[in-house]
Amino acid sequence: MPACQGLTPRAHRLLTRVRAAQDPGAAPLAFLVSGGCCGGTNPVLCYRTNVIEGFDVPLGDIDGIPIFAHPDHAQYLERDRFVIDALDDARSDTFSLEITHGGRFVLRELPGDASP
Amino acid sequence: MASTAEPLGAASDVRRYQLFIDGKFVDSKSGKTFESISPHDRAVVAVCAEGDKADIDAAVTAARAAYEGTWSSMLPGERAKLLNKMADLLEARAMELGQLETLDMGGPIFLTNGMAMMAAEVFRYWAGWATKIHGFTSPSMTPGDFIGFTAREPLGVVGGITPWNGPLIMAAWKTAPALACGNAVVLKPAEHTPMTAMELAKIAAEAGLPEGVLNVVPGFGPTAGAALASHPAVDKIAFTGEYVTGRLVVQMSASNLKTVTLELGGKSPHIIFDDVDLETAVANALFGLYMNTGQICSAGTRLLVQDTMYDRFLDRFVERAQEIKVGDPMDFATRMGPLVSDEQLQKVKRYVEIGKKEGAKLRTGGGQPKDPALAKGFYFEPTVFADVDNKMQIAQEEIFGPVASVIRFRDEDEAVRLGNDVIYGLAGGVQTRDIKRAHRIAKRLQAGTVWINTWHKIEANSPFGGYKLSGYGRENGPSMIEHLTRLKQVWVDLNEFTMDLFGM
Repeated sequence: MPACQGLTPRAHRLLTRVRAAQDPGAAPLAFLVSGGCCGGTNPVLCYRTNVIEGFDVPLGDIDGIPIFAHPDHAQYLERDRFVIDALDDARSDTFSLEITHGGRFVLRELPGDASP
Repeated sequence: MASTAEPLGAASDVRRYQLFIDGKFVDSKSGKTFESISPHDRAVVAVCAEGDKADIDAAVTAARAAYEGTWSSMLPGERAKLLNKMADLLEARAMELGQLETLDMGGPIFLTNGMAMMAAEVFRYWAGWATKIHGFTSPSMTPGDFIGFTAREPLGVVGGITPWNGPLIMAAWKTAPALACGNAVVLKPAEHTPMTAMELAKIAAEAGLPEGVLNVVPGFGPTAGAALASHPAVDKIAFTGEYVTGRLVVQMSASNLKTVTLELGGKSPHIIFDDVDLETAVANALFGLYMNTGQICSAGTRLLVQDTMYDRFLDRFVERAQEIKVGDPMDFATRMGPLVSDEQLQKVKRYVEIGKKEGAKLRTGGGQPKDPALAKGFYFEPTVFADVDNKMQIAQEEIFGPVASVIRFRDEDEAVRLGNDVIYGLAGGVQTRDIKRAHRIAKRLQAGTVWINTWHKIEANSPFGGYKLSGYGRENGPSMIEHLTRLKQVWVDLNEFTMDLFGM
């Protein structure tokens, strides 16, 4: 079972706004889970070309968008099941593509055991 | 009775800021603006022009023209005078700048005032360097009479992308050294906290910095930030922020091979041995962790405590954490203000839940304060997790909030092993009275800064930056000049008759 279980309705609405603003031929998207400093451990919506194949660890596929994380972050994310939610009217220091569309994607763990 | 800083103008005043491009304050080309809210009560405190790619293009063009036109050929002493003037103006306005930063970011006023004074010091330090940047001579290694020398030349246009956790001091780090080295600068401040970077732009104008030498373009990361990082006419990017965006900056920089320095996250170990005075150790640990509500990359978030003093330390640390005055950051007595944003608050809450699930022992805090006066703000209690295993997620990932992970160790080797067992390497520290042990640990910690019996000492004259996923390059200190200049080697043949290798 993939670690990432999908999007909440609010996150889905935010993603729809991002896609609506994209050119038809725009590059395919990807989520990369960030870490550290001000940006937080939250997903950064970027392009598939930003993923480092063979290094970043795949954590699932959401609505056609693959999600990856650095191996050291992935070891914890793989332990739990999580969804991608969104905060409305939120911003972030990251380059995540949704920020100009009035929201910010965040991770939410689903209830369950966190022990390794 | 504690006094509260009165913001200049009415507290309800909404300040308006434009972009600063080519010496002029202008609206964004799109006409868009964004609001900055106070983390204390979510009131709108500023409306700021929102720059995007078109505005970054204009700023880079202005910076390039200023660099080639006046700035790079200006006498170094003249550049020094201008930077000193900016330092004077920053110092004169430190109280006001501190207040604006507190409104914007939520840091307590005692801290933001201090950081404004530090920003002035950064400008003064780098004003001194403007006249002292030079190369060296090289003897010829082959026969003949030659003279060789190096010239240290500015890079050209330097882009700075700053975070929200110390908006003015970060703006000073990204601008003063680059300007001192003869570069022109485009600064993209964090979208949560544009105010003091825009005030720095006003100070630059007032000081008489030539048009275009410093440009400040607030905006969002995926538009303004990405445009700056990928701009082909920008020679270098200095970025402070998180790991993935740091990586995106590196990828975007590849087109024109611009140089990059990155200051990213941290999860710094604060190692405390049983030979120290308990009260001093606790005071130091509180300062190292809860300053700025834990929103400092180099915060000592992993408290590694020797098992022989673990219980004593923990009890006293929890007691003192509970006594921290959390409240309105405009109050001079407040020691911990709110977190900067809802995103931050949600993230800290998430990690507290993770810590509980992992089996760490929540000794205090873990929620928002009950005080109704703080109900609208992004406040969070000073939080302590005890009996943390260094492999737990709360010990490995940067929470960037007021959450301590207290971890037990037996001896020096274990302390070093645990201290280094993390993906970051920004800072670390040790408290002990044993000078030999202190230095051994300083040598063994994989961190860009090591503090012995102190914390958060970050000075304009000393390099700051990370090992491992905390990034590369250093800010501050003389070594930063290498990140902001290029070396040119010049060889001169002094022989009247040069050997004609291709002659008959």
